[in-house]
Amino acid sequence: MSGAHRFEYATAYDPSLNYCLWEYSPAAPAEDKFRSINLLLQSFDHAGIDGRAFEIVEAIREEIGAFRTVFGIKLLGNRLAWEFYFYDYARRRREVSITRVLSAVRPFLACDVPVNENLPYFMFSLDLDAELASGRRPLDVVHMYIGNPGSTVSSGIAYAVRAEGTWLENFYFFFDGHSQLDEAAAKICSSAHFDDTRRLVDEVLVPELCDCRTICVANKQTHDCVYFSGVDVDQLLVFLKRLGYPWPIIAFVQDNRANLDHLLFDVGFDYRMEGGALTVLKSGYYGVF
Amino acid sequence: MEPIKTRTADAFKMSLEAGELVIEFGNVVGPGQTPGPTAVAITDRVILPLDTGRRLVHSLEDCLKPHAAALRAEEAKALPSSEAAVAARPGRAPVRPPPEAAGERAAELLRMVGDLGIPHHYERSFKICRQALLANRFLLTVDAGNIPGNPGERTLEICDRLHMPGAAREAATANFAMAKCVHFGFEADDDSIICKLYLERAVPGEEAQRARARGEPTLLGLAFKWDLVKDAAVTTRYLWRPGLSAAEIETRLAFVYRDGPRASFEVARAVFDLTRGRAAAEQLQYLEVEEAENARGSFDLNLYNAKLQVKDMQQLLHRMREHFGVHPGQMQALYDQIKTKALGHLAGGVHRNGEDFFNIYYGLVGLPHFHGGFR
Repeated sequence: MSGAHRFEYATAYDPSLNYCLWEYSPAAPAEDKFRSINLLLQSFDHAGIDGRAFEIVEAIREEIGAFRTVFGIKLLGNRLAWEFYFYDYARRRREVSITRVLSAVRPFLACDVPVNENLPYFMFSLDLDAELASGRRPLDVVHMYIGNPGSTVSSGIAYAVRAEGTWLENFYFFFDGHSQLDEAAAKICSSAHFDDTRRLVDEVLVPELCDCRTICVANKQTHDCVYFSGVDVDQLLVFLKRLGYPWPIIAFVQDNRANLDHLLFDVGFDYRMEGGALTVLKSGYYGVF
Repeated sequence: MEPIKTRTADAFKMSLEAGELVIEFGNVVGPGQTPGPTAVAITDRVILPLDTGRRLVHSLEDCLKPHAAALRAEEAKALPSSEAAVAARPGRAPVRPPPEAAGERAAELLRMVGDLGIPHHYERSFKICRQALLANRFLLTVDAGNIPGNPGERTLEICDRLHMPGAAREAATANFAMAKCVHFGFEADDDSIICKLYLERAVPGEEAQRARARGEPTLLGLAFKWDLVKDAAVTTRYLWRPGLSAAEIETRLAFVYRDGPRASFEVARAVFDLTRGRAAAEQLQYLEVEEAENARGSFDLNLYNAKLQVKDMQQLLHRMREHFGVHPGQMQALYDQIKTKALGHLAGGVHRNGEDFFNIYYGLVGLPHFHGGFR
């Protein structure tokens, strides 16, 4: 059964959640329109991914419940990949643990990453790509996110947890999309990967996307990243076209604009300066199932 | 474990969903003085098994007894002075909004069958027809031999409490001896509350073989259905065609839909196709249904032996929804709750006016626990 045959529709009881699982007011009446999971299902169809990907989604949802998983659809070069994010702000008293989710997906994804549930993580994520979905390779990394006490803005630190050890990955800093735009710009410019004497910060802080709820700037090992949280369907289209997504992905959003206009989306891209130009390394858009 | 959070609530809504009581608690938003429905911000949703719900009712009554007088006095304040004194008197029924008749009838039936104190099956279903999705339907099944005392009398006592019409009662009494299984049915929507009594035979093997050899149906059961709102009643005959092959089932479906929409025939056939490779067609009980009072032609295909889940027919549910013009969100809300339930029966058919319907039965559970014995 294809993704299109699995499409889901918003009910009167659906929550509206962003990529941090924070609630927002829907941009328009939602009932009978698309749930954001349809973006994920359509991307699976477009990529021709193994049907087990659909079963992984179902297995996760059956284990932890609906509207508790954030998905990211990522474009790396010309290939799509996916990531699932899980939040439980109760930290050590968490219900949604790495152990629990790995156990739910074990029939589909082999994973020998050791997990220390005593660590105070509030979030973790799992990658998915064509090889993982088909079972051709095991899941060899879990991304674990921990708070960043002492930061003056909302912040988090990501680690890559592998069988061989744990590596520092990224730092995340959150800014209000309306009142802290200058701080976000300053954060972007305060980087080894961006030279604001050679490029305009607007290339990162894209004006069409800045009218959003939250901006997140991330410092990663070899580059930086910016996320715009709470963009509407028209801004999503701007993002998809600007970042060069495959035409069927863009067309799906365009053709179903009226079915998606109640949702707010989250988008982001990784970048660094290379030879004086800004290079986008990967990008992603997010939803919830 | 998270520590228990204490929250106050001043509003609640109770519903029966997928065989469980669902109670939503919340708080009234705003002063509630403007016309129109009151807004409630829901904070918590609790799901209770029916048996727990019954215990909750008793506990609530016990807790409220010491406060009954004070509550009556408080409610009486909202009444005109001429009525207030009467309403506040002990022993009078408390003043409250009109009861939700369908919910009360459903609860009464559940309680009465539960009070028989014997194992019984509980099976939910929904009906989908033109611009309507009706999910307030269920069936309770008992083995007639397990009913204590005089099974016929006990069964009809339950029907009497549900105001079974005299003619239907007489017919049920006359036919009760045929019953191996007794099913009590309930369905309600905005315009009707329908109660049902089914008497199901245990068809002897030789009779089934004879019917199979002759290519004729044999009577499996009778159902008496009466509407508490519309004062209408029908008697339904369920005719079993034993041992049909896959091709024969398709032929029978085509016959049922001969004057009906092609789209519905295709959906019915596609649901049947889901069973291929899971169960031999001969293991699926195929019935045709007749009602003397109308020209409805319909069928019932028991799918339990194929061990399917409701989610296996997700795509076909979409097709049904589109065919009948049902709101996607309404179907989704039901589907979210039942998708992992066992898929039970597909019933469908065409009314004389050409309009058709499907009934989907799912999630058979044994109460208080199932120990085999029927089906």
